[in-house]
Amino acid sequence: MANYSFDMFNVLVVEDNRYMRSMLRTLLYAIGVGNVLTTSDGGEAIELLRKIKEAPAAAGVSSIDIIFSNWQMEPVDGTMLLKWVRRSKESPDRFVPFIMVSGFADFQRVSVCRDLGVTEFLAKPYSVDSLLGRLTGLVERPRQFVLTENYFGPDRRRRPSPQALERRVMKESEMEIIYDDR
Amino acid sequence: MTTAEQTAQATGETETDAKRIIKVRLFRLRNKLKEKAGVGRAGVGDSTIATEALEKALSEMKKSQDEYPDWVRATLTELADDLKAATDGIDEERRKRFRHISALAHELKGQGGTFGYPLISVFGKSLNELTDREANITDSHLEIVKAHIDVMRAVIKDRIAGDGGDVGRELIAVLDRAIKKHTVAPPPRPTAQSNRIPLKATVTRPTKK
Repeated sequence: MANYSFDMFNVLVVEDNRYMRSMLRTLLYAIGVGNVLTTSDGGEAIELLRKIKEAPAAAGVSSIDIIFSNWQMEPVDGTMLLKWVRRSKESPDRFVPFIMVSGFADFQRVSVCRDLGVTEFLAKPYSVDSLLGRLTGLVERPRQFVLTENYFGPDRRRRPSPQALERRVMKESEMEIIYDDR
Repeated sequence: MTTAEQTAQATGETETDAKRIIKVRLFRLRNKLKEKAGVGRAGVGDSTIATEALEKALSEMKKSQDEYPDWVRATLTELADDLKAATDGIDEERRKRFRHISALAHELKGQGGTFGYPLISVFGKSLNELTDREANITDSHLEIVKAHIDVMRAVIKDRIAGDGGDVGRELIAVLDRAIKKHTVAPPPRPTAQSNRIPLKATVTRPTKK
């Protein structure tokens, strides 16, 4: 693992439980994250993100680099926030890494998040190591974004698989690189 | 000649190129996070992650662990209040309280392991599942909720961290017994012999060969 410095990162934590919110913020600061903003549900997060897009100076931050969001919250939960971030024209960055945090980590729920364009999933209870692992994963292994008729988000295939095992074989002519800044 | 073909001719593309249907559009963005994280910046080495940062995080975690029992105690008081209100209330009020109990249980489930009290996660998970939206809200269910609060109180009172060994197993057994005791068994399915009205005819479907 490389020696990263997260001091220039602006991280948004969206968590309704005061205790968990404060713990995640403390942990992120402890591993060197420079700026941690918090909101207590998806609705508040959307308000903040809107503000960042419209008036970054007033919001006090120019952009958000990573979002950590709890799943179960009311009235706006983590999946609704994720949908908004990826699909709304008002979203300040539709490519922002989004980590869903949840006590429910069964295959079905992880799949739901995956299909909405989540970047990573962090199951509660989590450890410092798993938190660091997610963060360094984002830094070291960013994925290209894919837009299809019914999906927008990070490439759901994390590593190239042999053609023979692919269910959907895409012809090169059916793909187009819209943006390449690597 | 179609417009597409004219365009193809003008741009030197083949006919297939002009007619191709794009199904997947890819975006390959610059790795901004890596730039911000400093790899490749002058003076930043490629060594292992700063041990001191990890140490600091671990000590913060330890601090949270020390405070955790107080938080659980407060949550258990809240659960007990909900239980009392659910006991006194009926229908809508009781359903509302069960929803709140379920939400609190979900939080307990998610946090126990993080703070070194996996038993709280086990009991939180059980309570969360037994009080979810489809759960029954009979008086028996109130007893089941109470049993969960009792075992979690025991965990926090005696600071039973980890799996709790024999005491942990005993608490799990106590809860299991309470759940079984208060779970109303479904009525036995009537057998052919117990049916008062004998079946006069049996329709036999031809089996497919």
